[in-house]
Amino acid sequence: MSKPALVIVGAGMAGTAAAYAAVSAGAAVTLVYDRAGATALTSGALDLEPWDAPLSFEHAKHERDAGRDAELTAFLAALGFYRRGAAEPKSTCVVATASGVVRSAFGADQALLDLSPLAGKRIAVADVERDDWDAPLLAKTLAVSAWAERTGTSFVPVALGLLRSGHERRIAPYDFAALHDEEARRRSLAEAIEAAPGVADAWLFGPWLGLEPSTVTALRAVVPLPLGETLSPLGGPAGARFEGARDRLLQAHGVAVVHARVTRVEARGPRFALALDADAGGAEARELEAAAVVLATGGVGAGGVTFTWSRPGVVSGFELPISAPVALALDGETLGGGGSLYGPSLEVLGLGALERVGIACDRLGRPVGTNSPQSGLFVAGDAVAGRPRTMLEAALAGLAAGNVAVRG
Amino acid sequence: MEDAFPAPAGGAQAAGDAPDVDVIVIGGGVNGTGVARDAALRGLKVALFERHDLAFGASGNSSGMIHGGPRYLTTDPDVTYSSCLDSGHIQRIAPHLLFRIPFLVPVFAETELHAEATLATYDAFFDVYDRYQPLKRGKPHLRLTGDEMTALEPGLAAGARGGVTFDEWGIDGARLCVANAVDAIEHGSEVHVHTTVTELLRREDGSVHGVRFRQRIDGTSGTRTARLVVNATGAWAPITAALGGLPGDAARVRPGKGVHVFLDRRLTNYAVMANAIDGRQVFLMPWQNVSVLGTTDDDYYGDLDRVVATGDEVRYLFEAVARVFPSIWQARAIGTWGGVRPTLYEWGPNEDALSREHGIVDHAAHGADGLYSMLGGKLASYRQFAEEMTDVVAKRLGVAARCQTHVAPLPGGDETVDPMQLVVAGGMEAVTATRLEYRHGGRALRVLERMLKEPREAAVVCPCEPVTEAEIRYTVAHELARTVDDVSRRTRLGLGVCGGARCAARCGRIVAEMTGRSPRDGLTLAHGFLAGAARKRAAAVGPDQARQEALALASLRAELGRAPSGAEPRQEDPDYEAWR
Ligand SMILES: Cc1cc2nc3c(=O)[nH]c(=O)nc-3n(C[C@H](O)[C@H](O)[C@H](O)COP(=O)(O)OP(=O)(O)OC[C@H]3O[C@@H](n4cnc5c(N)ncnc54)[C@H](O)[C@@H]3O)c2cc1C
Ligand SMILES: Cc1cc2nc3c(=O)[nH]c(=O)nc-3n(C[C@H](O)[C@H](O)[C@H](O)COP(=O)(O)OP(=O)(O)OC[C@H]3O[C@@H](n4cnc5c(N)ncnc54)[C@H](O)[C@@H]3O)c2cc1C
Repeated sequence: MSKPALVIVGAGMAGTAAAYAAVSAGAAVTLVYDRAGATALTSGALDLEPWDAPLSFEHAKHERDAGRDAELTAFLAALGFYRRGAAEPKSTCVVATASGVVRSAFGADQALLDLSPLAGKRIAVADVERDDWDAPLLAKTLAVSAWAERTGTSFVPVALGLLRSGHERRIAPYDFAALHDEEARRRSLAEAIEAAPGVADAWLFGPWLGLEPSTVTALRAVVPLPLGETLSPLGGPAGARFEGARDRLLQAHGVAVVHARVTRVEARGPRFALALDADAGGAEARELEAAAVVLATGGVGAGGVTFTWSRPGVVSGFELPISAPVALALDGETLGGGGSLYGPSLEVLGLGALERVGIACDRLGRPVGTNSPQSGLFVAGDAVAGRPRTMLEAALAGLAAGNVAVRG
Repeated sequence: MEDAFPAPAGGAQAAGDAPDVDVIVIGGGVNGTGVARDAALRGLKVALFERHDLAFGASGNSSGMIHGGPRYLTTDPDVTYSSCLDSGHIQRIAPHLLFRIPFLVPVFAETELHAEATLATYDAFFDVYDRYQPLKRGKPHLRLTGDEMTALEPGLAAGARGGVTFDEWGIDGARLCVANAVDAIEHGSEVHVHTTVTELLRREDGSVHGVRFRQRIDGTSGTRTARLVVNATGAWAPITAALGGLPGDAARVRPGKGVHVFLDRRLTNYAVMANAIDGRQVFLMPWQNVSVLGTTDDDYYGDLDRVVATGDEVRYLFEAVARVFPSIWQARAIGTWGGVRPTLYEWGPNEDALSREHGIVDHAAHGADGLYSMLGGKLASYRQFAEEMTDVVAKRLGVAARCQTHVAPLPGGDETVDPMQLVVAGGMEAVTATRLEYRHGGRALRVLERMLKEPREAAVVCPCEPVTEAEIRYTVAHELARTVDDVSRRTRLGLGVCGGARCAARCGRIVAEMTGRSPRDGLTLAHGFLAGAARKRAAAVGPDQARQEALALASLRAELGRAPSGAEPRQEDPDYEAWR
């Protein structure tokens, strides 16, 4: 049995940030995760609530986050793939969605087109004949966005023949993006841009510019105009690019990564024991020991919290699929001993309850609401009840948890 | 023509000016659109007003069965006969819209003896029903052993001792209303959707000679006059009558709410009947590309414009069906329908036992000559009900032309199209073509024509159903769709597992563009649709759909934001809050 100092469960934005903070503070870290969470499916913007208002870091006035600005910047730099708004520290990015909404974001995946330096310019919307993409309609919609009207920015569809077969009209954006990781395809994309009529100051693409962060970097090296993507749809390439950036960061910082499902986190005296399921790769079920644990297991969308109906031995309701000394909470109330055969009544609570539920914690990410609060156990990101479900919240909470877990 | 009912003095035309139209029909359900079509085919000038969308009410939220109503066989065989007869007519005029639904009624009695007794009763019952089956091309029932039942439907609970089959037909009620309305338009009628009647205009002598209306999208209002006015507003009928100051019991119905849950795929080969805890019969049936669980029947006094299934209703249905089809617990519910039956009013009998027979009220009896209300009725007998109503209207207006609606095909029903033809000519995928042909019959060729003219329109906008851009544009151009919701009602766009996350925004902008609105309005339409659909899904979300819902919430927020107009802070959108 290995004896790492800190075990982090979950490899989304929160778990990755926690690992980064903890290794930076000198701890030995093992990170355990088993599958894609929200971060791996995310759209590529780094947001704070409210998402669609002009933002600045000032918005993030959590007492926990005071003074974390520099740390956040360092973490994003280490991750190497998210950038903050153009003019530090207050300004933000302006990003576009494939539905034609233009909104600001605290930062974004590098592959996205940041519109903020392009105010007042003429932007080409790549007109590619994919079923999920209608460039003329998108250009029209973007042109009447409040941002474009205020800044006098225009959008024009410009035809680009990128498809090699009818099949490519309909494949998922993720798969279409993957094609452009191949050098030949990437080169022909650059050539198509080159050959297009020079009517614009920048190029806006759909979420197709590679699953590898290097693809868009390589494109930018040869195309003289700014270019980038809209936000990704659920499960588009932005999440894949995060995963690539994460894996490189974890490796560079010497974090031990274990692919397994954690089923139990148990206090044994001052230390913790984590039970890991057998995995598909043939590893046996086993235990890990830890001095401290960060749960960054995500929310309902990631499977970090589940929704159950009553069955023998199980009471309905929201459930943490890991047995751990923590309590779930919804709207400020600790959950337990469900009052319904069929789980929560979402028609009463609103579907948003699926995002509000999580582990009950104090402002420092320490679990509350159990009989035996356990020092050394921390929670971060979407796993926390009642916190905004954003990338920035996950990053800040992860950095805080990683720090506190190591430094106490 | 000899008129047995000459227009009484002071009747519809007494007030000088020529009325705008012959007949105003209020309500765009099957009965309203049915009357509009029938009257138009007889050469009358008709104006129909629908407050929301065609089929917004019971007609678009029913079980969609053009059945002979075996449940009325013992209490009301007339209903059974007329339904079966009309089922045959409807098959003839809209063959593309009908699909056969063979039912299985499994018997799970405690003892063999009990089972035998029950099966014998069923057998005798369906022997009688079989006599009506030829009216609607139905097959006679079969009595099956327990083994035969499980061979046909492997998911049945263990222990079936036998059962019977019987044959019914299903239809898409919304498409049926649309087809009737389109045909009425093609025969010279006006059809005003999203236009609510706000007042019945009455003369000094009390007679009704028109309506005041308000267009709900652009807010304009006006009046329209007619020689006669038909109130075909289903469960809203008493409210509509009150718009003319009529007494509360002048057009009374007993509103019976019913809900359906739909599940993400076809789970069974047959429709399976089950008994609910209170003995009511409910069913699980494959319907188009989903399964439908239905239905409930309860008195309803809530807002008819916002009928939504509750968790209790959903769970009542799950509990019932689980007894015969246990794996329903693992099924994924992706939506609900709620509708209110306009049942004839009677105090006393429980909702289920009430007859679905229909009646026409001549409001001359209430001092409001020129106004008629259509009360009750069923989807299955709408054509006959519409014929009866139009007979009254025609007689009153001295029109000799006879009803043709039992023989004249509805739009799309006059021509058959092989979906493979669409695949070859339009490069559509086979499912896209098959679904398109189902919805439009021969008129699928008109959608194809659009694609051939503008290849961009071949794009599949809603991949779940699937629905192409050409079809969306066709529903706006020719089928009166004005919102994303309307497109969805006509095509089932946005009703798959992703709940419209992938198509609503695009569809909204297409609709906005075609109706002269800004793309921003299109995003508002998408928000409205997504919020409404989420409200309808919420009661049915179970363990498997919950995760998808959480991801969809995050994804939609990233994609559309709180309200759809750019990077400016703005007012809270109430619908968005409901959706959260
Ligand atoms: C489609 C979509 C679009 C979004 N768009 C935006 C956006 O534009 N801007 C924005 O700011 N935010 C966005 N978000 C929200 C944002 O992505 C999340 O808030 C953030 O990624 C949460 O990160 P996390 O690390 O807390 O959780 P997750 O990324 O969900 O990570 C959870 C991790 O826990 C692991 N795990 C769970 N249970 C176990 C277990 N028992 N054993 C082992 N491992 C386990 C999972 O494998 C996973 O690695 C979006 C989310 C989605 C789904
Ligand atoms: C759950 C359920 C299941 C059913 N199953 C079946 C079945 O399987 N088979 C079958 O044959 N029948 C079935 N029925 C019955 C059938 O659906 C109805 O009887 C039939 O659709 C009634 O049609 P309608 O046109 O009278 O009313 P509706 O379809 O309700 O139409 C009334 C319309 O009037 C409009 N309206 C109201 N007020 C105004 C106004 N002021 N101005 C303008 N417009 C107005 C409304 O918006 C609405 O669209 C079912 C009904 C329900 C609720």
